[in-house]
Amino acid sequence: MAGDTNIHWTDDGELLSKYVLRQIPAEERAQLAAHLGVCEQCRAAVKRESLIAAGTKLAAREELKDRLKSRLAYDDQRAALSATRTKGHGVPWARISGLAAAAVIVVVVGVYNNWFSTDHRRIHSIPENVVQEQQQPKVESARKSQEARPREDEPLHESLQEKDLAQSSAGTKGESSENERASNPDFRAGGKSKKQSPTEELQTNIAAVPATGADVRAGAAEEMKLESDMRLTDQAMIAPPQAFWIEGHIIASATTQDEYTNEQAASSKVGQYSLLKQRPIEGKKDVKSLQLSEIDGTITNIFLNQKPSSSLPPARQARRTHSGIVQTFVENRADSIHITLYLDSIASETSLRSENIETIGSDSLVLHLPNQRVGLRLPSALVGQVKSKTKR
Amino acid sequence: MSPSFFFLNEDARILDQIRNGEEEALVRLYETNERQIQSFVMKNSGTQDDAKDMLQEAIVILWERVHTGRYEHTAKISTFIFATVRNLWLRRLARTRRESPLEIDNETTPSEESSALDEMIETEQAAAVVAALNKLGDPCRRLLVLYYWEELSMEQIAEQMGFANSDTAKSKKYLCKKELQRLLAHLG
Repeated sequence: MAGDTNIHWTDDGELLSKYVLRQIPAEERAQLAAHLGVCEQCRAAVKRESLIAAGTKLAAREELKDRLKSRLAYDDQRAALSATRTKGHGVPWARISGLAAAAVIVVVVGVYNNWFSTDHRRIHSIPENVVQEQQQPKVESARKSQEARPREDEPLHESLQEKDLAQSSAGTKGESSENERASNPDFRAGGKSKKQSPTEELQTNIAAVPATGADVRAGAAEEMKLESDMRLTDQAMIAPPQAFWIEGHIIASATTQDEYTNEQAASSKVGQYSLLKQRPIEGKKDVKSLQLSEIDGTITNIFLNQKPSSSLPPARQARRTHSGIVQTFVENRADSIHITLYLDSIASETSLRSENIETIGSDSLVLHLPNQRVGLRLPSALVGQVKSKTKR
Repeated sequence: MSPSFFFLNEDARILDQIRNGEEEALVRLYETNERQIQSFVMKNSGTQDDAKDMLQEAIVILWERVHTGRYEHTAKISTFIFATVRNLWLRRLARTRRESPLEIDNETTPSEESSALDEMIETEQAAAVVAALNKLGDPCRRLLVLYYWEELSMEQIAEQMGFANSDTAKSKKYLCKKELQRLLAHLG
């Protein structure tokens, strides 16, 4: 075989593939390798086959990696929502204990109040009409017992009974009132047992944000807020999503480049790699970062990548309803935003530089590619207040 | 080891899931190993993004090994992942050092230079294949991925892709490869 100059083992496509994929026993492989030493044509064939195998593996790995990233991004979002929901719907021990404490206090205060008022009336001989006036609500209806309790927005009662009660139960009055609010169905439903000004109302709502957690007072309002948060779409998440898909819109197409040019082909994947390599290491500034924007005073790099639309995950492929849409994957990393455009026609690396990015308003970008302009609107939760420093 | 014991073994279960093509297993692997990998990469001049990238890369390699029957379950999966990340990261660090003009190592030998160049050329050539492959579209792309990446036999490919038999798969592969080579030649 080795001596024959017209017949080469590399002509057997199956054998060639198996050799490259290392699916041949070592002994046989060694014989084939020996032939390569004397056959330049065979070496070239092996190199071509190796290249196809390497490229195919690279493409498949990238695809699997993209799918993994999408899954992780989805799981992150779901976990964040689920964590928030658990906080709102899990066993609310803090709230239960608060309510239990409230119930005990109400009973104790009620008993004490009853005992004290009777006792007090006996000792100090307060005129009957005063006592009756104070006790009227209770006497009138046990059903309206809540009305009989002290209310914060009413002037302090001047009767001795009320003063003594306030002194003797110092510290419990406020607590009782707080707990009352938590257990009051009106408050739970958004009604106010205590009249609030709009500012107070806003403060109550702010206090109800999950950060206050176990706070019994905030519990009911918190639950309501969480319920409404759960209804939000991914475009308006509580926290900026980590990675997500958006649809870019082709604003105008100047020319159509159906075929890859050599330059474009060389720059497509390689361009992406070189960008990845340029990530800052050990706090070094990335001198070739594509874009700097100011988000809440911090500098954020926006990296643009491109991939051919044919490499879109199947689920996204299905969404390519018409050619005017550019499926785009956005990753919100710790200190940078990575935008990957899935283009029908790969643009040269230079066209992804900052001078070709224009910001429109506070949340939109227009990318000026050689043959088209692509408009992207980022979710407001991600962008925040982007103060553009982009120059055209 | 009895099958029931294997079933109880978390690693064995993950490997089974990978063999069955269940990608949820990858997410589990990612979450299990995230902290350890992050700690390693960040202690070695890397960023959090680098750590994520390395871990994803290692998980993809594991998937590839399992599917091609080249994974030997002799140690824990986390050990394999850590070792893979370590190798990948050290290689990337070495490459970064070579590429950074500010950190040129004067003692770099010509052979090291040429290997870096070779690596770059290979990467570019592989990228050209990826571009051509994407241009090729399905079902050729899928067929070649099943053959070169998953290393399935022609019988398996025929079964997965609904071809009549392995001969059909073989001739389809031949045509797809020929078309890919034509595209590659066209790309330069």
